[in-house]
Parts: sequence; structure tokens; C-alpha cells
Amino acid sequence: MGSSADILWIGLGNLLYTLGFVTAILYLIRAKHHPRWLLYMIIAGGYAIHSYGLYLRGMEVRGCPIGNTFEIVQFVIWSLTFCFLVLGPAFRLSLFGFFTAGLAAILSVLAFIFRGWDTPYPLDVGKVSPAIEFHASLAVFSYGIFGLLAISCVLYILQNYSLKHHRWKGMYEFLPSLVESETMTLRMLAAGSGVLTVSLLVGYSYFVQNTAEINAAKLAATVAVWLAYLVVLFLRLTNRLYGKKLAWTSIVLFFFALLSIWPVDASRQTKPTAHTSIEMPHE
Amino acid sequence: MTQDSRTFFCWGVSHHTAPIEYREKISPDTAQVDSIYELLNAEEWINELTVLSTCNRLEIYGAGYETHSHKIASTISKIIEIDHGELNEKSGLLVDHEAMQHLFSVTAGLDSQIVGEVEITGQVKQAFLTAGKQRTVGKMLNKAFQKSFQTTKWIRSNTNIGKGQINVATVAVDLALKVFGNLKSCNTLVIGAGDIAEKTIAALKSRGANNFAISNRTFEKAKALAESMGGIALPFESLDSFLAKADVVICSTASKDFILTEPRMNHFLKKRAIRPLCLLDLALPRDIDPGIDRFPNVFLYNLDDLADIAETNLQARKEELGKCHAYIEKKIQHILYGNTSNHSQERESRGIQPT
Repeated sequence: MGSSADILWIGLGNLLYTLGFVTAILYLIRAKHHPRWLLYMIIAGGYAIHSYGLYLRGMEVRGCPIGNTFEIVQFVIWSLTFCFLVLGPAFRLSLFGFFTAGLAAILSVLAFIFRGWDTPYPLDVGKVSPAIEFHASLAVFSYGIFGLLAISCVLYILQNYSLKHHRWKGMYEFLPSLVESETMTLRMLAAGSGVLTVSLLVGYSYFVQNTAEINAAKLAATVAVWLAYLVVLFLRLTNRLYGKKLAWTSIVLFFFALLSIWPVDASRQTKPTAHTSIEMPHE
Repeated sequence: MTQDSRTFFCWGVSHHTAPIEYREKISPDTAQVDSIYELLNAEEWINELTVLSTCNRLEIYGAGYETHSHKIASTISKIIEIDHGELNEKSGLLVDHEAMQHLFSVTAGLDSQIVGEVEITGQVKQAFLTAGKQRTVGKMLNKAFQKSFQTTKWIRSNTNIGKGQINVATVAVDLALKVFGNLKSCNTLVIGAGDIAEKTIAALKSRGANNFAISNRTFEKAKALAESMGGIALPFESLDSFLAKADVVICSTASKDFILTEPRMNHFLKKRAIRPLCLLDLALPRDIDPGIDRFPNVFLYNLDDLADIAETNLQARKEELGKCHAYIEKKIQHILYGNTSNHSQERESRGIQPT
């Protein structure tokens, strides 16, 4: 689905993220750290173009463009880069931009390889609830934060490996310290869990009045992700889960969260269509 | 400099030509340096003069219409009261192109015993300032030294000649930084109060660490070091009281047995918070049981590990020498022969602005 214009802008934004990633890799191959401002500017450029593409798509679907797997993945990429652009300069973690561009590039490539992800879906003309749009966009936004969390965990694991196995050259040379990565991990974990909690509260306030629209698979997947992150946050705050175990758990959990997109997405395709709906045509 | 018919020369003794015992003998004090300026400046054939004296070299840079190596050696041997013949034998004279190459290499730290060290640049600058105060710097030396400082700046910014720590104490600090990022809030426990401990504390302090506890079997030594470095002294028997809250532990005692054993540390690791622990074993024989490294969040490094890192960094610096010398050669071609084409092209290609 989607017009050629929105796909073009979204694709161009994705291309810039990939370009940023490749640029940083080329610097690393030459045993140099990429200029932080350069990667930041490339990602910021990609973000601006990507945002315009998503805006066009949003205008087309008359809502937040998170109606199929392609759109959800694009929205996760958008949230990820948004969080990086806002938080990156504050944390100044070495290689943070590199891995953000990397994750954005990987998700972008997947989104464009699997063209089937961009399937048409029914448009709910006249029945788009602002509350449910807000709930959905916040939930997907939290996935962007969890993406950054996974990145800080990758940085932690690599530095831990470097320090334990005495690997100092190449990429290891530029990694942030363990404590910096772990601080970032805790903050991202708290922020992501917080945003997802708010999202679920908003969703709850809507669904209690519209119980017929509740989809069991979607509810189970979303609550499972939310509970899992809350448990991890609790274990971290009580010093029962930390270091490498926390890092691996957060990475696995992020992939679990990404996988949970499918039941959530599937629920949209099968939701009751008591109201008027328009099928978006394929290009 | 291209229109100047005078000769730029460098006379000197360095670690390349004389052993440390001899360099110690010819190291002049401030009064003797003043005398060198006074007597050499009185020579008619010398127009300009700068004396560079460091622990690794005594060098005279000058400009004149003639060059007389033995006369310089004679003057210096009289001032420092050493044998003229031996000094003449151990010294060397470079002129014009070679002398210029040497000055640039020395200033950039390429000629140092520890390749890429930065202290020498400051020492050359200081020598040049002293020469200025002695009113022995003219057009030729001014241009040569200023250009050598500019070249050094370029080399430092554009090559890896100064990258990576190359002495054990600073390598140890770098490792602690890789774990903690910032040493300001770290508690450091130093076990042993010898020379290595002192150097490592100094290196840690230079990178922001300020909470030190020092422990030694002879409490007085720990107390003396704590007073001089700004920390607290711990009786050796009370070591355990600080172990649980220490973030960085440096061991450098002469003990033949392990001081930090696995069972002892196991007890503390259970007690301490989730913060990582960086253990730096700078003793030989080792003070820390290597088995401790298997604990998660514990990072143990011994002297061999640190020496390996220092050696790798030093090799990496040496690999940069070719690039540095090539740049120096281009600069000298430009200064001596006015060969601007290469220089301009390079400047354009690298986007370098004139300084």
C-alpha cells in the first residue's frame, strides 16, 4: 500500500541511515573514530526525510501510520532515531550513533526486502479514536526506546568482552565505558517501561468502554512485553539483575518485543468491521 | 631562509650517541646553561643560538657563516668540566637540511626514546623562550622553531604518533577509565607504597581520581605516601574494611604470596554493590590470585597485560613514523627551497588553513 511519494521519502530516509552506518564502518576499518557530528547530521537528515515520508503516509491513512508491519517497523525506526537525536548529545556515548544507524539500517533493509509487510488494511473512516491512536503511537514509540536500550546493552557486552578477553584494537578501542553503558541501560529501561505503561493506561481507558474491540492475542502479546520489561526493571532496581545478564536479557527482550508486532498487527487485519472501511489500493 | 647564506646547524649529544651515565655527566644546571649562551654567543661565527637540555639530549641549535663542532665541544667541556676529547667523540654536527629535519623530529617527539612523547615539545618551546630572553634568536632560528611547532601540531592532529598510552601506570589508568568512564567518584585502594604505587596514583590523579586509601605492611610508608599524594593511610590489618567499597585496587607489594586470594575476594564480592571492580596487579611476584578474574564484573590485569598493551601502542606509534617524516620532509623542502607546489597541493587536499 502507500503512494509512490511516501515510499520514496521513507526509502530515502532509510537510505541515509544506511549511509551513516556505512560511513561509520569505513572509519572503523581505517581504525579511526567517525566524527560524531558527521554521523549525527546524516541521521538527522535521514530523520527529517523519513518524518516527511511518514507524514505523507499518515495523511493518506488519515491517522498514525502504524497499520501494517511495514509501517510499524518504520515507526520503530523513526522513534529510535528520534530518541537518538534527542538523547545522543546528552549521553555522548561513543559508538552510540554507529549502532543506532546500524539498527535503523538493518530494520530498513528488512522492511524493504519483505514488501509483503506493506499490505493494504481497512481504513476506519470516521471512527479513528484519538485515544487509541495515542495509545498505539506511544506503544510503538516505546519500542524505539527499547531499541536504544538494546544498543546500549550491545555496547556493554562488547566492552565487557573487550575487558575480559583483552581485546583493545579496532572497534573495541572506541567503546564507551562499562559504567556509562550500564547507566544508559537503566535510564532507557525506565523510560521505555514508563512510556509503555502510559500507552497501556491510555489503551485501557479506551478498551474498557469498547470491550468488543479487544483482541486476545494482541492483549496477551502487549501485556507480556510490558510485564517482561517491568520485571527486568524491578530486578535491576533491586540489584538482582545487572551487568552482562541484564544486557543479554534486554537484547532478547527487544527481539521478543519486535516479534510481538505480528500478533498485534494480525489483530488489526481481523478486527471487527462493523463500521465503514476503505481498502487502500496497492501501488 | 632561502635567501640567507648562513648555515643552520645543530650540534649535540643524545641518547643515540651516549649512554645514560655520560648524559648525566653533561647535563648542565641553569647557571651552566647561562654560561653556554654567554660564551658561545661571544663567538664571532655564531649569530643565533638556542640551547636544548633534557635528560636525553644536550643540543645547540644555531645559525652562522661557519660551523666548528670542536669549538662548541671545547666551550661546553670547559663549562661542565668534562673531558673535551670524549665529548667531541660522542657529539655530532648536522647542518642545514639535516639539522632542520632533526629539529622537527625532536620537537614532534619522533626522536625521543619513547616515540611520540609530548613532554619534549614543551621542553623545546621552553628552550626557545630562554634563547629569546638571552637575545640570541634571530630570523633564521625564529622561523625554524616556529615552523617546527606548527609541524608538530599537524603531526599530533593528523597522525596516531601520540595515540595509546605507553607506560605501565598510564595504561593502568586507561583500563580503569574503560571500566568506569570517570574516576572522580571511584574509591581507589592502593596496596603497597613503593615507586610504582606512587606513579600510578599520580597518573590516576591526573585523570580525575581523588579518593585514595593507601595500605602497606609498614604503616609509616603508607602514611608518608598518603600525605604526599593526598589520601588516607590504612593499617595493613584493616585492609578488609576498604575492600568492599573499593572500585579500583592497585597492588604493588613485594609479597611472595597472594594478598588478594579467591576466598577472600569471594567474601567481598558478595557484599559489594553491583559496581564493577578493576584490579591492577603491578607486583612481581603477583599479589592477586588470577582465579579472581573469573568472577563477573571483576577485571583483573597484571604487569604482563599492561606491558603488552604498552608495547602494542608503542609499535603502533613507530608505524606512524614514516608518515610523520614524510610530512616533515615536505615542510622542510618548502622552508629551505621554497618548493610550494607539493605543500599547497597537500594543504588543499587536506583542507588545512594556514596557521
